[in-house]
Amino acid sequence: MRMDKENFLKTGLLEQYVLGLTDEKETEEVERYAEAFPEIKAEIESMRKAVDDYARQYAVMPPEELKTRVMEEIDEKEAYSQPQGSLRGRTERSNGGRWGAWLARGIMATLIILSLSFYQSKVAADREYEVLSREYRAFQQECSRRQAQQEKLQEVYAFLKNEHTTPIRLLSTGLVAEAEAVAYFNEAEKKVFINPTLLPPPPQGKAYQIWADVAGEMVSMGLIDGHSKELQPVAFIDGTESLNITLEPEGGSKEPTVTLLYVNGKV
Amino acid sequence: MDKKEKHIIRLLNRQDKRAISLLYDDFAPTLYGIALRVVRSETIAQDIVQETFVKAWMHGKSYDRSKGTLFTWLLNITRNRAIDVIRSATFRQSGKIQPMDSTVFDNERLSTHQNTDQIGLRKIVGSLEEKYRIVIDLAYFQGFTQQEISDHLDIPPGTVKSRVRIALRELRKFFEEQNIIVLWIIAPWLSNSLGSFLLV
Repeated sequence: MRMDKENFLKTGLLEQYVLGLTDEKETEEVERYAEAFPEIKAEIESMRKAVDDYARQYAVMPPEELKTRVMEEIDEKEAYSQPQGSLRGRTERSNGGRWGAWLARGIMATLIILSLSFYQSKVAADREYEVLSREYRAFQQECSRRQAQQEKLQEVYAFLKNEHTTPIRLLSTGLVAEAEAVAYFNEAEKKVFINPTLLPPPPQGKAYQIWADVAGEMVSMGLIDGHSKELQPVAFIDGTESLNITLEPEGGSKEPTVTLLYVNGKV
Repeated sequence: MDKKEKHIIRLLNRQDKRAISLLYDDFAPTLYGIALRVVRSETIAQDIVQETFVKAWMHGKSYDRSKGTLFTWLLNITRNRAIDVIRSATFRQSGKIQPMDSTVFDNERLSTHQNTDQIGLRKIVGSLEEKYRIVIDLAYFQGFTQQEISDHLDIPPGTVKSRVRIALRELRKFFEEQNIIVLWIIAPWLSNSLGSFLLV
């Protein structure tokens, strides 16, 4: 839109604007002109001043207590808004700012302390968790170990209870007088268990081996752990006539060392 | 913008209540007088003035000088509040509303506390014809639109516009003359003082 200052001044819009009589579009137009021409801005200011001066002619002294009322209401509002920290005077604000800063620092420090302590508890908890899970794993292993052991014992117990199981005493051949062992023999289930607890512990580098005498021929039934105090299964050999335990080099032999026959017993 | 005004605006923007104390001293009588003219009740006018300054304090942060003088700003608050009051149902029911233009200027009747400017008021009232004064009062004090003024005074909108122009021209002429008179009065004193100051 072309702006024509002289014509615009003649329209009377300025006067209407100053008295608040222009509509939105006219107000915009006046403000556009005022921005473009400093003279128009000055003209508006001068008209405003005249109207303001006119308004001042109506001045009437209000009662003195009105000012007190005004200031009291502001004091109240200020006190009410103080916690928000924004609606305060300069000095109070700087005070408030100081308090605010201290408060912020306090909160910060508390947060740092809290997070440190949380971190420490977390580290401690982690450590504890690790210990506990290690213990738990060990416990689990122990459990399965015991379970396996129990199963084995149950198996042994069931075997010993079995009506076809016969205990056979293997007595000393005189080589070591106090040597003795017990075999539990079950032909029906083709199982043999040895209780080696009465055998003297084998010397270093030696081990006990058990043999079945089958029609005059010695057949190995396996090695016996001479240090163990538990019943030990050994191989069952068909047609076993007697059981013989010899002392052999560690790892066992193919043929029994007859000179070191400790105990034997007939089936 | 003078130093004092700048100081007040600075305080106002910071929501410092000292700004309100200063503004009150400067403008409360005018605002009270105008509120009184619109609502015609001392109690209600005082409430309006009180609300004006409290509101000014609360909204002082957003006051922008480029949008108008402090006085215009305060006057707007007072005027809008006064107009709200007289247009409210309760006010109408209380029977207080009277068309302002139908009465002659009777500020003396309204308050015994008269401002010294009252003499000036008589002068301006005397110099401004009634038909122009009414247009300014309806528009400026009562917030009427052009159409409302036209309807109210039963004159065509074109006439409202021309009366507005003439009224403002007369007002400016009157106050500019007053300023010149003031200058005429103080100029000799000023030159005297200046002269003696220079001689010393």
